[in-house]
Amino acid sequence: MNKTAFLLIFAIGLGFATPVFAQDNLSPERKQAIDSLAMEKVRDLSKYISIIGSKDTPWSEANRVIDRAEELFMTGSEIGVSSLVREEINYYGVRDYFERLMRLNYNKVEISWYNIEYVSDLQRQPDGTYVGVITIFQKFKGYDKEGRLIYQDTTKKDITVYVKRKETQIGGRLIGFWDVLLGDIRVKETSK
Amino acid sequence: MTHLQRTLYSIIFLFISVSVFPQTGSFNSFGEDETILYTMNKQVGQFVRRFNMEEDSYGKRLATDDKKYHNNKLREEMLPILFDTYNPRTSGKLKQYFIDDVTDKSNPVFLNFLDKNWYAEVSATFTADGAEVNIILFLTLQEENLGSKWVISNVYYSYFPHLFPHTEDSVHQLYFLHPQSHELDFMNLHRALDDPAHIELYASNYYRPDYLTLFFYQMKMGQLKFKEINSVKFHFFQVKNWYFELSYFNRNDTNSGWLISNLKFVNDEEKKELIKSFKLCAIDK
Repeated sequence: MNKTAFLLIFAIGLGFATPVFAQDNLSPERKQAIDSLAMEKVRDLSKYISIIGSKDTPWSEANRVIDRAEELFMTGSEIGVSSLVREEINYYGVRDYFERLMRLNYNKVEISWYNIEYVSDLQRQPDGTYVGVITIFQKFKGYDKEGRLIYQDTTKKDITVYVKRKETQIGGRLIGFWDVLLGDIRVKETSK
Repeated sequence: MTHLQRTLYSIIFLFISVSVFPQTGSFNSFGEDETILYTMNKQVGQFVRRFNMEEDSYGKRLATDDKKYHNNKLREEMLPILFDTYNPRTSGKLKQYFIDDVTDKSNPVFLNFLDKNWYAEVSATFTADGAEVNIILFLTLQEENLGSKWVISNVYYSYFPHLFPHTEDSVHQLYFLHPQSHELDFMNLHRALDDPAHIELYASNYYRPDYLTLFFYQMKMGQLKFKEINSVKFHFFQVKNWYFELSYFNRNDTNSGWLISNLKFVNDEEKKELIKSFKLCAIDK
């Protein structure tokens, strides 16, 4: 988890800190704050994808960013990808997905994001962890050596977000904070 | 539905979005494909929120004290756009009757995530003895401890009904253990057990095979192997006298995403029968 994200989560955690840590129901304000926190993670992910995919990013830097991107996810998360021509879903581990993105065989790659983010309601799973899904849209363009556009697509990315109340001890006091991690992602090509 | 009508619906959507929910920013700045992405029902949850009128045009939740929240007038305008407008089954008068019912002033109907009686249908490919077969899994939400989870409630695999064909009463009368069998230490039971083709006829007339158990058994024995998911849709039974189906439409059009793909007027009895096939193995609390 990067330092800024941790500080943000922690700051919001402090903001919400209450003597009792059981948080069965989220107030609309708290939900909104958690949504913002989750969106922050998704924006980090979008930024990392753009850096990893860019042919201008040196190999060592891309690898470093992959490490950072991996930290956004729960262990064992998968990315399921399908396209218009191949509806079968291919499953990739998070690291594998990023490494494939880094190795794409184009001379130049442009990755841009639509200014559309859809955040679902948070639902609780049996262990009390909140689960939501954030949907974003990405435009991808791949060019050859002559600068010709040889591939482009728009993909819908449905990203699982897990939100869990955690506690940490500071100066002998238990302080609660919200931990946000990304989970499985479904990547679906949208109709052309 | 003609292209003109679809365009009209898009304009209506934008009108509802922009004029009814004034926000900072404007749809005018969107490119055509961005408008499509905005109008698309991107998640099932968004379909539900729009059905209930619980979000603004940007997908932002409306506060419960907002005048637009659950506003029936706005729902009447929004609901037609939640249907697959390409499909004659979900157009026309039936659609309007449905909208009239769910927006009834005295008894409006809203959908809730934890409602009973909405089911997911997952069509998937498996392999059985090396051959690909299509199997449909039905899932329903079950509350547990602090939250909820989707559980597999039933399965449809065309092979299973073949194992238990419908039999006439006259056939039932040929296969039974007479009432004094116990006095003979059930020595006649071998007739049942040596003839697996008719073995189920020795069970109660009320016996119904549990296909989900058969499915789990075949999976555990390696006789069925999962390959891939082909499609997902949802069945909603919450609205009195109505059933509707929700499917995903991936098309370059403002009428896209999760849309009502089938609508039927069904009475309670018909509904019970339909639900049986989805929830056979789901246990009600």
